[in-house]
Amino acid sequence: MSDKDKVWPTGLTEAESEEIHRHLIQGTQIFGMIAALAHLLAYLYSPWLK
Amino acid sequence: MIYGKIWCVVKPSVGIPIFLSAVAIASFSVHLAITTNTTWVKDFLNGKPKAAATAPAKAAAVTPSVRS
Repeated sequence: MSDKDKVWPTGLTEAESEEIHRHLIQGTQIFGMIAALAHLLAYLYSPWLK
Repeated sequence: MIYGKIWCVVKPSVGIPIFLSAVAIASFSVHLAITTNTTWVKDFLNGKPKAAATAPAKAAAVTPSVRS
């Protein structure tokens, strides 16, 4: 794990792996925010939980 | 970043579709379960008025029979 330029079995280095992961996390956060907004609107405008 | 090195051992071309599919299937399942197990989704989509407004009247109608 100490060699930063090591190419792992997937063909990626640690830096590349972390870059992909950063984008995946960001996408998940944006999806989550849109989903939370959609649930808020559903709660307000439908009989859900009322 | 925590778990940031996972893509060193899991191919992104395999792991990312699995991750996205898991999210999609889980979300679809929950929404399908709600639409099949409740009546208000269909009523709401068909523009019917809220069922909640009739709930207190129903409760009032039920209560006397429970007491007697």
